[in-house]
Amino acid sequence: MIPIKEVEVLKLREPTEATSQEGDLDGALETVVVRLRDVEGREGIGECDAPPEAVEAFVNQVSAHQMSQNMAALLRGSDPIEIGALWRRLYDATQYPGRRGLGIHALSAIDIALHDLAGKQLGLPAFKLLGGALRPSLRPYATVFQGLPQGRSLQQMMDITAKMLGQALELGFEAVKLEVIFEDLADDRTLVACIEESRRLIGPDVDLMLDFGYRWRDWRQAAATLEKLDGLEIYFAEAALQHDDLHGHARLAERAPMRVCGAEHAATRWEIREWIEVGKVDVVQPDINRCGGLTEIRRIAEFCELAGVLCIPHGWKTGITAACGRHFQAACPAAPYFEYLAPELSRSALRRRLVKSDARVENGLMALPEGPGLGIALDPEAVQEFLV
Amino acid sequence: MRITDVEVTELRVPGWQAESFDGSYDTCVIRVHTDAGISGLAETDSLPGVIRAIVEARPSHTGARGLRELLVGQDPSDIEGLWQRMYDGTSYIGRRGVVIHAISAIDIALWDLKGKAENKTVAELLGTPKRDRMLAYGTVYPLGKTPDEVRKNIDRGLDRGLRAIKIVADPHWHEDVARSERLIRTAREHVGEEVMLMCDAATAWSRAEEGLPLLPVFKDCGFAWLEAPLPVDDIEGHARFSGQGIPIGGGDLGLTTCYEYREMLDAGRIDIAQPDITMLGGLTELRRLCEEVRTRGRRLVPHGYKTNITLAMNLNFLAQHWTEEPLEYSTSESPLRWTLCRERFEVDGDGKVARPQGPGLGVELDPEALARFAVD
Repeated sequence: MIPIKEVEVLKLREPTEATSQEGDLDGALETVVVRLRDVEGREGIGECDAPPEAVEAFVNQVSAHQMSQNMAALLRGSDPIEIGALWRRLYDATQYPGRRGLGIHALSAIDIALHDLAGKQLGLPAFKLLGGALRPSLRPYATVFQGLPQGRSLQQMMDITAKMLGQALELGFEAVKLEVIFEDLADDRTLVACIEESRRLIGPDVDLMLDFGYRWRDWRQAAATLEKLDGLEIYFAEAALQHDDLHGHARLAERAPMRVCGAEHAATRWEIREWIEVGKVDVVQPDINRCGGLTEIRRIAEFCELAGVLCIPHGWKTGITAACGRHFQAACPAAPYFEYLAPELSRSALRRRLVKSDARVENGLMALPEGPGLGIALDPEAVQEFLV
Repeated sequence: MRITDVEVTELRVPGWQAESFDGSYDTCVIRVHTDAGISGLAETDSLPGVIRAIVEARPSHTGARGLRELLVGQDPSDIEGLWQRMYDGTSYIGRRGVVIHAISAIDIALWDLKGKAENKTVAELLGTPKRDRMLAYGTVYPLGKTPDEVRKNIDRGLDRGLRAIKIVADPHWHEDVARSERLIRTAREHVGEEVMLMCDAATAWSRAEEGLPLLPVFKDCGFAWLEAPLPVDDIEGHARFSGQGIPIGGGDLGLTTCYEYREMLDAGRIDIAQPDITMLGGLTELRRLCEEVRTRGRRLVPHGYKTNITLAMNLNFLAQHWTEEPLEYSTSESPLRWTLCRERFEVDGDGKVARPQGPGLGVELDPEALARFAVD
């Protein structure tokens, strides 16, 4: 195939108030895009979640020894279809500073860009490179994030919740995840009432997921609340405990009346394996742009199938990550849903504008992606506007 | 006292082409400055450009903040509180890996600062110093392919006055076990009974089967430990080396936080945790790891292959360690390794190195070296 000629790192950031100290938990207000270009001028793009300057420095690191090598130099001249081999080579060649954490985020962006570029060279959508479609259409869930309270009252938060839930249903979603990150505004009992109210608002036929935003440090306290939600048909409970508390997750998973899930920050299949074997969660939620890209999440999904666990990826960035969710679900097992940040429900202009082409949702479903690679393209105007 | 700035300096020996497994031709120095006019000093064995970006990052959201912005204005004496603040404030991008390297360096600098503020050595801050001189071990790499080469290369270590030598296994070892056995026995015969020997297999074996046949030889030759027998992700593979009569060390290839070590201790069953403190999470995380290791009845010997800043830190730690353990003493030919600090840490007639007695880590940057190697 056509070798890679250039490796570019684009840092994109919105000038907003969210870059203040007390900013919201909204990572979609900046992104870092890795753009690969082959010798014939085709481009492949990927993104990841990390400080753009740090990813740029990681990709362009000065080679120090065989476990700490410049990634761009390793990519130049390589054949983009050899994605698995390149993944392994880059992982090994950066394992001293990499292996987990931010280095894997950088590798994720590259892996996504390789899928895009190889797909474009072959004229095939990325999900076909992953093995092909396992299902005729896709099933996303929409996330309703009201922002952190930041001085607003519980009533105000619930008003926003009601409005956004209505929007999600209007957009055609039949599965919605509600962020119940109300901090001190709601004690556990009030929180249960808020969730009951939300269930009432959306009716019985919509799958309802909950994200507790790392609310508890004591699994028994979490369990007491989750037990009170029995009967509300909650699809899963996310981030009830601290991300590192795998033993707590294991105990909670035994007691909770719904699926317990987590691992949104996990990088690599090794971390996910620990979540499954030690954390005993029902659902893992790696982010494709943090866990090691499409290559790694496919391995994770196959491992999940073996372990009787679901893989429902986290996704909260621009249209690049949204596209990855679609290609993932098309081709991977154990994947009943993927998180889809609907542009209409996001306050991020980057989410709405960076990438051209977005899918429609109808009766809870989305069509398989079309077009070669990821099937998307950067909007040059948006790039120009947000480029750092 | 309040923190006013966190300064990251990239240092690099010009012209280094990364031709061997030696990470001491560059380093990343961190200084934490305060309004009291004193500063803390540290380094990390990581990528300087990435560390700088992590420190200077603009806050993206509550789980993705820059370390400097998290620290400026804070009281530097609450080191554990600041560690947690940094960890939580970077949870979306950190947790493991290179962000923990950055936190490590800042944490160590805070310990240095605390020592300077209280006029105590870091050894005194960490515990009760029990020893003033530590046995130093040097790494001999490459070892050579013939008995003659082995003797010649080991002499390079002995000539420095070292009384403990770590040899490095080569990838060709498993292809000819008989020859490898000859090389290992030559090493023991050459140094005699008195010199401590250990072996680092850092990059030699990719499967347990490749290394296991040599374990009886190491045992017979009285090796003190076998280090990093397999790639660090192969935790189950490490367990297969356990219980064969030679202590197994692991984790030196960059494990970050106690969470990663727990797996290596419990599933990997290593006997000796070998954290690089500048990557693990600093001295604060090291103290937590010490608890994990000690309650399991295992040992802890810090890794360290950078400049004299790392050496000074390891000397301070080992001086008060619960058990006497040797000091990793890099014999790299990188000028950064030897000249970055004013202090030189020579090996004495007993093969030992004296711990620094100055406050904090007890080292100062040499302005000439700083000027020579700093990258803008």
